[in-house]
Amino acid sequence: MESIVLMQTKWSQSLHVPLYLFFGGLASGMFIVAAVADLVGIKVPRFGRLSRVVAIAAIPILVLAGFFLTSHLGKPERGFAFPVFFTNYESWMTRGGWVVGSASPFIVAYAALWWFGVMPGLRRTLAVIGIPFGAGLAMYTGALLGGAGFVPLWSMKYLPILFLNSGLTTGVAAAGFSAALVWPWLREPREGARPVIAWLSVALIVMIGLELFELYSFMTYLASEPGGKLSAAPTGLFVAPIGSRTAYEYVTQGALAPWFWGGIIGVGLLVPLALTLPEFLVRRWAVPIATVKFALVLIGGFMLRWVIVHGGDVKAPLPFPPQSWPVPGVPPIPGLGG
Amino acid sequence: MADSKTTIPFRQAGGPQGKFAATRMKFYIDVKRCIECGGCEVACKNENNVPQGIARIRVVTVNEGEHGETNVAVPCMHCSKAPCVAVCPVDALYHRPDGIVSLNKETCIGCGYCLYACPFGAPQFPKGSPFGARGVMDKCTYCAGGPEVPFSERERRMYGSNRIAEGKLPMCASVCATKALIAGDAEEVANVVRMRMAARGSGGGAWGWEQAYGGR
Repeated sequence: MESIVLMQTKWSQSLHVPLYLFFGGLASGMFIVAAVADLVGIKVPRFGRLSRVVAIAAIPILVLAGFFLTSHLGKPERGFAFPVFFTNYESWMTRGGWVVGSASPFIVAYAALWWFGVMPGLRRTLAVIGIPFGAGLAMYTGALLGGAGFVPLWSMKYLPILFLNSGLTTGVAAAGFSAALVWPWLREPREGARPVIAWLSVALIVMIGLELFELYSFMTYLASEPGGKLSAAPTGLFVAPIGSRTAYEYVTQGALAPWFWGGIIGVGLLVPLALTLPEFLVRRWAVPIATVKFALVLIGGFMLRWVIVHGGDVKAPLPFPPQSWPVPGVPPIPGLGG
Repeated sequence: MADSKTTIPFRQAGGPQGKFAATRMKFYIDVKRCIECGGCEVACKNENNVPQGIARIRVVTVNEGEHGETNVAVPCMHCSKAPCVAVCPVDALYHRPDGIVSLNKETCIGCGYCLYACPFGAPQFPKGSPFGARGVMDKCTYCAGGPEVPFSERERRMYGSNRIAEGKLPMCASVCATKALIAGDAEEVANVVRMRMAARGSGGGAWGWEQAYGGR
């Protein structure tokens, strides 16, 4: 039985979707890093200074996420007024509107309290309460794609966790990047940046290791064709993960392979991991090397969203001719097959 | 070849045993009859004034120029459990009582989620603005117009013709020269499929290339 895989390349030519997925995850990751640093900063003051830098730096990232999220809509004003217009709660876009709408005030309020330097107790309370909302924001971006259903690459089983991890990884990288670049402009003691960056580098090693493991698990899952052969599937023929192996091959061996292996794995994960060694060995160059490393992780984080979105061009294979479609309500006819 | 003694169950559109069953308007594409003439594409565009860049129905060819070349017309399939309806955040897509999946362009926000949810690629968007914002979605309406006053200028401009309200079938199915594309109530369409299957033979051979024109 032949199957047809419909590709929809026209859609994915827009950068808006990968950009808002990236900036949304980055903003949530930066908020979580700032919140954790704030709590650690109770004992170690330099982490408190890091928290201030990262929390404020998260605001333009959040604005960019919102811009790219709404600017690609045909009617952006209705996106802003989602509590009124989004009525279908079965849709992950409606649920996500509330996730974004509830996480964003935490991120903004937290940054405002740091900016004005007031109410540290309230600020830390917001940090504790806001961490799950930030994590929800990062995970929702994966659930939004997974909710599409007929895209084999967009697995609801893996994307939310993968995007959460990537959000945290890029959040740590952005925190380090901010610490390296912005620290002097905020009239903070420059020598305070180096130890903080060292700790962030250690955290980044852990996050990169986790992300590599998740990507490996995800690709292995896709390659195993978990949906089974088309002819063996009794129902739900078009639902992912049918066609997962096709998506796996498209990403790892097809047109997206250079971006996957070079962009995500190489530039985004392995090269930063490798740069950690000279960073710790050559202390004089630690901050510049770390700055480059953090920038590469950010590029890799965007490449992850870009590859995942473009990989969504591959739909679940459609088994034409539909010889296994049962005629509704009629039992199999003897001699004529199903 | 067909077994002349085989009885082909034939069901009325009114459902089994004469009981009323809800109408479900469906398309069926007989891939062994489609000759890729493109008549359905042209007829649809002409009948519905489809915007440039949008193809409410398109013919997909597999193994072009090789043995086993297969053509299939792909319109909106008006699924009984439409994923586009499930994912639309603003309920711009909905099921009509007759099973047609209809679109309200006034409600649509152009998010594009339906485009990814649809396994057939039916939802499409016109060219976007310089800032990347796309318009509202457009798709096959089963020539049933939209949620406007039937036969009004507004309906025609936004959704195209409303042949269903006139008691006609979609234009694409009406012009199909080989009757590869058939449309109508699901029971009636299923009856046609059963008759064709019986005429072509049993089991896997019913869909074999050799049976397309050699049998019936």
